[in-house]
Amino acid sequence: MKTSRVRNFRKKTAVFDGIFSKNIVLTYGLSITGIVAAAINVRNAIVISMAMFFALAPILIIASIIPKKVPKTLGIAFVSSLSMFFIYLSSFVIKNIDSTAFESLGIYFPLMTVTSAGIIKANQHLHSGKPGFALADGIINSLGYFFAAFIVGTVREIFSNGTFMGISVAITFKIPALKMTFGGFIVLAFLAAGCRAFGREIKRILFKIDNKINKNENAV
Amino acid sequence: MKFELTAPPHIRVPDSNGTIMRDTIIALIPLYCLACFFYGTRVLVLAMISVLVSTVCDITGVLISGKKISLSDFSPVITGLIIPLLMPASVSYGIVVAADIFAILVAKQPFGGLGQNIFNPAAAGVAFATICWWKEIFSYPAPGIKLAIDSVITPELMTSPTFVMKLNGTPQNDYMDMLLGNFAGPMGATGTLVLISCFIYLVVRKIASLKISGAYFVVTILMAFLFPRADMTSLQSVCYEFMSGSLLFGAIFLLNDPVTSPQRDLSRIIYGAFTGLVVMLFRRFGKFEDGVVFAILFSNSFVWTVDMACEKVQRKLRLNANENK
Repeated sequence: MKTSRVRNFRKKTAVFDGIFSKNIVLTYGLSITGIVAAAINVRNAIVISMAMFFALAPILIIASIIPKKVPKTLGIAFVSSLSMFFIYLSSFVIKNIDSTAFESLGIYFPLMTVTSAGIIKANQHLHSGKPGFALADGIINSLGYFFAAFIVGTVREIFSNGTFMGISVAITFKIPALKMTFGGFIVLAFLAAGCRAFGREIKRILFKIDNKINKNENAV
Repeated sequence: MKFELTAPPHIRVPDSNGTIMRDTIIALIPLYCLACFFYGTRVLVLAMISVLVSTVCDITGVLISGKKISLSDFSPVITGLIIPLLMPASVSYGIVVAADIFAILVAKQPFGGLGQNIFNPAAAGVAFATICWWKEIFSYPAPGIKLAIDSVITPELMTSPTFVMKLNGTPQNDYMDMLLGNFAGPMGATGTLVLISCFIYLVVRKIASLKISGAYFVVTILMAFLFPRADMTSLQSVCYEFMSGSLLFGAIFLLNDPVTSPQRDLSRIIYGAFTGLVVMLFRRFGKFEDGVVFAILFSNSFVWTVDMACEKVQRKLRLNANENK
């Protein structure tokens, strides 16, 4: 039984794990509040993703350079408190980019300071001494968050409002429940299931190709 | 001593999944006949579309789960037949389709499919449709006006007695009309006499549980008698609450779902009583004029807990009885 193609595939796509196979939202179910409650359209999804980037990437860098003398619990508490500062800074940036979407986020923008993804990722990078790697991880995971938020926001906006980024699309049958939080949960659940099924199917196909080729080689 | 090996089941009962579902479908047929009499063939088209969509969604869910399709599984047919009966005859086909898709692909299949779902799929589908399109769900055509099969509904749509009571008014419907179903309401939930006949059939066939429905009726009637919603007598309140909306239909077809209802006798009584209480509270304080499906979904979430608790209580009572012997 050969698994070389599957292993090669996993090695080559390891960089993008944070976006697909190890997505913090779709695979681990972390920080879903912003997506299910706030990402009711594409603009909100983009703004909440920017907030996630500002909440995540800087604290991972800082967590990686905290000396080992500092106990873990103190380190995590310090880093989580710092995320408030970065979220506050990001509010000036995001307000200038899209003030309407920023206002519509309401409480969910400052809630990004206490994301479970931030705490767990900071714990992974704490004392690692690799700020470059931490920054890359922060960027990739923020992109993964954006991927989930964008798709959920798109689906919700198209099927509840009949618009995409404010522009009307040819949808006559609208489902108002998608604007609600429970609609967001359902869309996110189906997206997570679909992504995991897709990833599993690719590995299954590669495994089948590998083992069919292996059988042919043995036959020869 | 010779032992003969045979495949299970070794204890056989006359009832099976197939017979239970067949009896439920037979019980739904008179309601469709009455609805066709009042509203025309549009009712049958709604039913066919609903059954088709439910079945396709169920087959899709079964294939995605990697299970085998069972030809004797009529559960999506029952779901497809129940959903339109809880809606007005003038409802658009898109709403019925959306309710069916939600019922099967969100409320049933993700929880494991047939026999594993926690929530009643038909109630979930109707609840979803109510949340999304409550204006269409609570606007009813007058009975006797045959509706066009296409989507264009021209007759004027009316409100039901439940809406009048929601506004603290007293309905003016004749009791005989309410018994015969000759008033505006969900197309399968208005014919009180027909519903009672269906209930008797299901009780005789041991599909419907007297414990669940009985406890439900006792609590709802008590609440209506003791706390009338509008300026009417207790007896009027009981009659109007009992015969309007989907209170009776929910007691017969939704509460007695063998998958989502409890198994123990005591837990069935508690489940029925609790659901009746929640139905009346939703009617009084809820946003919508009729919250039967929401009450049933709420009660479904407690079924497992109630069953476990009653099992412990009954085990203690059995042990005490054995000790006393």
